[in-house]
Amino acid sequence: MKRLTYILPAVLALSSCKGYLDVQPQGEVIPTTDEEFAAIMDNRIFDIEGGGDEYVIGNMDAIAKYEGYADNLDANIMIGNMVAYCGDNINIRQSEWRSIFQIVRDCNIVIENLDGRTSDIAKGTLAAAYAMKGICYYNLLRNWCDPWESGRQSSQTGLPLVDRFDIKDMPVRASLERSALYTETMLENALKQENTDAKYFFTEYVIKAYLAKLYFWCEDWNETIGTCNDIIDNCGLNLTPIGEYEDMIQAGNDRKGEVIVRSHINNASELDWYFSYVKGYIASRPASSSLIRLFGDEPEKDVRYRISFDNGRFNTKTPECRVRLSEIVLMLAEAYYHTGDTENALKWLNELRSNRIEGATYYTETTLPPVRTDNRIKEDATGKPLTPLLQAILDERQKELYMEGDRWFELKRNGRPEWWIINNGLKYTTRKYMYTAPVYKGDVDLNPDFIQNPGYGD
Amino acid sequence: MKRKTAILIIASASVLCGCSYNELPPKTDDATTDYILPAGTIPTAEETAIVSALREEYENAIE
Repeated sequence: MKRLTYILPAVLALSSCKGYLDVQPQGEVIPTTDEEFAAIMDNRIFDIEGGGDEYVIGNMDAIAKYEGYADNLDANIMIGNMVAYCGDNINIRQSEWRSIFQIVRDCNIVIENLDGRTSDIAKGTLAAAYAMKGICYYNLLRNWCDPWESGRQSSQTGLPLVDRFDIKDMPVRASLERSALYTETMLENALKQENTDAKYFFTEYVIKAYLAKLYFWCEDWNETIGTCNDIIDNCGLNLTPIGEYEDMIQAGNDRKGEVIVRSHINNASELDWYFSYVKGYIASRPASSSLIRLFGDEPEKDVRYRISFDNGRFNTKTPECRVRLSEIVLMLAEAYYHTGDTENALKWLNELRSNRIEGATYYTETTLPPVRTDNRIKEDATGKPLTPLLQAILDERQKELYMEGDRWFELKRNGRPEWWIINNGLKYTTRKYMYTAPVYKGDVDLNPDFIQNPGYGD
Repeated sequence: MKRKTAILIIASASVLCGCSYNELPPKTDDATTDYILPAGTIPTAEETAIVSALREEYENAIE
């Protein structure tokens, strides 16, 4: 009887507790020190440097995807081992929303806990967290929001502005205007940390390059001009000349020449075996004839043509995600164009061409080629018809940033043209709504106030 | 004896109550998180001819 008196409470206590055998996780800690928070960002930076990161700076997978959606390559001639068109990746695109917000979550944990700390580690880590979050939001804006429409931005749907990690919080989508301002704030906060240590990856001109890209996407031409001029005047880089261009573009892992930032700088990445396959996939669809025609009657004079295609028009350019001074120059030229400063727009357009084409024709307003009638892009970012000068700027951009994942966003920014391909006897059309990816369906199902993008309803 | 039986019953009940056994069958997904992909359409003869011309132009260009 006495024994039962002991056994009974023991049975009661143990059987009613489901977790009495639970153990604390081993090898995992809740970060508290600067170094522990730095480790969160170090892992993300390691991903970028190894080429595994698809969503911040991007990698070969991102290039394969965006070039697969766009029209630099011609799926009508050969589909190859790439996605046939963007409609086939609708479900992959919605899942990417989650992946990006996982990076935002990590950044928020760091920002929330390190803000105000003054050690070098804390400031460098904060710079990385703010910059990474700002770039994630910039990428979210470009992918999951409709293109900017000046005058309508306060009523266009933007992004959920997530300031802190809270599993129960279900923020709805803010306006496009507020989302852009939020993104700008993140990048400006990154700049305020004044990080100069390349160990934290995001130094002054890397952050400014993304600020310029953000202003450009949001059609803030004056801010674009100011930021691009600042970068060109002060970043210490010059446009890479023709003789050094191939070395810069084909560099396997080095940041050479005019490259401001690039991913995959680790020359012993564990993913290198995989990237050799991805290069093969990318080289399985030939370039479109419309792209080839942009190089003119003597394409060999253009260094970009010489290094980008083999005899079958298959890609030979190293497909790496980078931000280069050429892109800054092209944004500057286009921003000047939109402010009516034709002289400066022409100056920067000619500056780029002289560094890419042997004996390049110096363009003036009277020598610019007329607008082609078979352009896929018919209108500019503001909805106006193309002019010879803007066509020339967009042509240079298409040639310069070929195989860098840019063309898809150029199509989106400039009128979202609809076009089709034929695959296995069926026609698939890239519809206007498809330029904007669906947000994660699970988020929409969970929260009835969360707005899905048009075209992806029930 | 009665007391022992009562104690045993209480003990058994406690053990069973503490068990998280769920007599419902395992839940399966009743909603998809995927969207249905857009269906292709039959191209017109004109569209097929455009693609043929593109391929022909390509074949001639790379010869």
